Amino acid sequence: MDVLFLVAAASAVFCSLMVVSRRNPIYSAAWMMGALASVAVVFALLQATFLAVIQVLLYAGAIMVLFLFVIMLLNPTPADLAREDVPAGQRVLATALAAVLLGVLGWVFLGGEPAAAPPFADRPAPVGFGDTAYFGSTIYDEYLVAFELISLVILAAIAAVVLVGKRRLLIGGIEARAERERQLAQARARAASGPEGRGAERTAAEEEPVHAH
Amino acid sequence: MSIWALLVIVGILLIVLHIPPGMIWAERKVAARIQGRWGPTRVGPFGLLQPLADAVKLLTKEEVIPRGAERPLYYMGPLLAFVPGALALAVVPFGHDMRVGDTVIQLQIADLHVGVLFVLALTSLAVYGLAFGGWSSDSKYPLLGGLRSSAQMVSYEVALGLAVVAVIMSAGTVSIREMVLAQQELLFGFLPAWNVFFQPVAALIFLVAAFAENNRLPFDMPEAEAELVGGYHTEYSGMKFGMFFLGEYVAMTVMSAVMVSLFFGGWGLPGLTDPHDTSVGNALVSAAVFLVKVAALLFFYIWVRWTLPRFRYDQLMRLGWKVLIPLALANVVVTGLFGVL
Amino acid sequence: MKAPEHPSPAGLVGPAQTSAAAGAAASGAAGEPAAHGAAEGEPDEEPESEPPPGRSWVERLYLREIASGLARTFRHLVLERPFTTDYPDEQLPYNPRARGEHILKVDEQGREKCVACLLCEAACPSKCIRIVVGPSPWPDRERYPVEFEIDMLRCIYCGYCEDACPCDAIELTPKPYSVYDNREAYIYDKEKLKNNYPQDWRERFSGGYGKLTGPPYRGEGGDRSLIR
Repeated sequence: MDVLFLVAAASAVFCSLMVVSRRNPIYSAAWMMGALASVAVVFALLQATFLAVIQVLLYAGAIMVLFLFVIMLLNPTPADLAREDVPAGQRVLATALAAVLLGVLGWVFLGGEPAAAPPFADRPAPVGFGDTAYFGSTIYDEYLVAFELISLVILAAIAAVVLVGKRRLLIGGIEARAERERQLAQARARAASGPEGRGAERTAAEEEPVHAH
Repeated sequence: MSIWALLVIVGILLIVLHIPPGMIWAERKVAARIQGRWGPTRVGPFGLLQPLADAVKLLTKEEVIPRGAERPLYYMGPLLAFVPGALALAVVPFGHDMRVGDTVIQLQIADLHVGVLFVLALTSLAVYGLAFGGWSSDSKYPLLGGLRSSAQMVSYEVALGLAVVAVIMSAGTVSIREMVLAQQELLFGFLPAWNVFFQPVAALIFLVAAFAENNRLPFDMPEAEAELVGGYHTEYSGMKFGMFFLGEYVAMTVMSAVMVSLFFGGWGLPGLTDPHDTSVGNALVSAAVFLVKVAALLFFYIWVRWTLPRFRYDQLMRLGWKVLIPLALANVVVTGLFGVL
Repeated sequence: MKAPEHPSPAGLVGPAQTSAAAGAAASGAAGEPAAHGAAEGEPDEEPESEPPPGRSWVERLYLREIASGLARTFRHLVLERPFTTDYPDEQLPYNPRARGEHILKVDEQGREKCVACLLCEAACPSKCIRIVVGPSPWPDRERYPVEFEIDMLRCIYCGYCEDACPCDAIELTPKPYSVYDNREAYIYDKEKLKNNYPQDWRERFSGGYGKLTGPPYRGEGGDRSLIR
């Protein structure tokens, strides 16, 4: 078991490093899949089978596909990818923050008082842990309110995305409608100004049957 | 792991690997007869060895790789199209338990207690093969095919999942094995208690979504040969193309096997199999029943392919998002209400 | 003049007469421009293909149509016999008038009918016929072809040689074009042309080659009588 864990963990770390170091986003996405799969293996080794499967189903199977979809739609050229538009200080800041995070995590897990024993060693997993039923009862019995609140947040996010993404469409539709009405008014004015020949008469008659009488 | 488990694995692998050649033959033969042709007649009796000839052709063919192809992903595409789908069969029970001596052998590779979800997770990975293959070919038609496949499969996965959710709710378990066992009783004394009778809407949605997931006509947008040449596999040749081909048939087999297990009673057929009998004979009969059911569904795949025309892309999306998903959601709600009452 | 009796187009007549005609035209046409306008107005919207009007949602499920389609294909699968011939084991006869490879005809004594007049060579648009003229060994004619060659790769099977021949000595048979693995084999000499249409080929056509007996073969798919 420990060997499997080490392999999966090492693979997860390696894949994650590849994700952030690839220049081509498609390869980043591919390595991301590898990382997700490795983490799923770790979950499975921890008896959290449901979590492992959901990890693959949702993250690898659905979310990453959407990422991939967007990348393929944009289909950046090598020239696009080579362009550097990272602000000057960002690299330094990012490295510093990563070092801080690594340091804190290392302190928690390796040194210091909290890690005298392996984490959670005094709290063995409850019976049926990781099971679908256990998972369901945890979410829907114990943490129902929190769960529903989170889904509300996600719903709000979806609504916001629709509003932002479709705004142009809505306004565009309104403008197009105004344009149509303007043209109609023009045609009506032409028809009212007297017979200017067959073509004008006909358009007026077709567009406004009521006024033709 | 006992020797028996190993035998079961090898046996299932052998069966599964022999289905695609049979499917290729059946597809060509059925297509031909529906169209008033004979189909393959030259290689072996009734052209039965035609798949072998095809395989030899594919294996010995020159492999052409486009100059601009992204090699690593280009090689990964066919593999990803084939392997995850085949893995999903691990949780499908091929037959009833059988008792040899003191050991009880399950005709199933692994009885995971997340069974159905495992299948959904792995089949959802198949899209990567098409997407990577399409993108890495450095060609416009495969790219469009790959794009379409990712959009289509993500869309229909939702409907597929929701259909399964309704079944899970009415069955009260996620394990495919337990679902199959629960379907072995009789309903009103004559009707087998298959889920298709309890969940007809879910069965219909699952069927339609399965067609879309497997890129089969009438939903074969990703390859749509009339508009996209060959779709995602346009630039593939030789055995790499063959892997895509095999992957499609394996995915169909998986979907059929899952559908048989979820909706059509799995290995059971009242009168032929006895769920309380764990003899070797009963187990073998049940395995045969299962395979016949899978074969019938696979025939249905072929039959529909040569009957229905292809959907247009916007029609496909509208059907998925505006019809199937709301219907599946409503089905879940109704199932839930029945469960409460 | 008959013109006033005819209903005039809406645009040409005065306001008094328009009411009925324009009303009819407008009611028919009004829906169309509006629909177009909507499509133009929202460029990002996918073109919605509305189902044909007047169908209930049950009809729009098309379940009955799908079922009947499946039934039709199943009938084909199980009941119908394939239409195709098992080429090359089975072959459909060609039209007796089809233009295939040539034959040099012979008379009752086995002598070629050709008198080496060179009319076919002159008529040939692809210059595929080569004739070497020599004095005839027989008393009934002056000249005969010492050599007679047709390059089948050049020949376009137009049949002009047959038309040009004054003594009915060359003829295009329905024998389809042969296939060889070298170019020399395509140059047919006199002996080969004389025997180019052996007996078993003759038997394929009931009326005999070149003769049109009965209605011509029309090649329509579905005529089962042609499938043996």
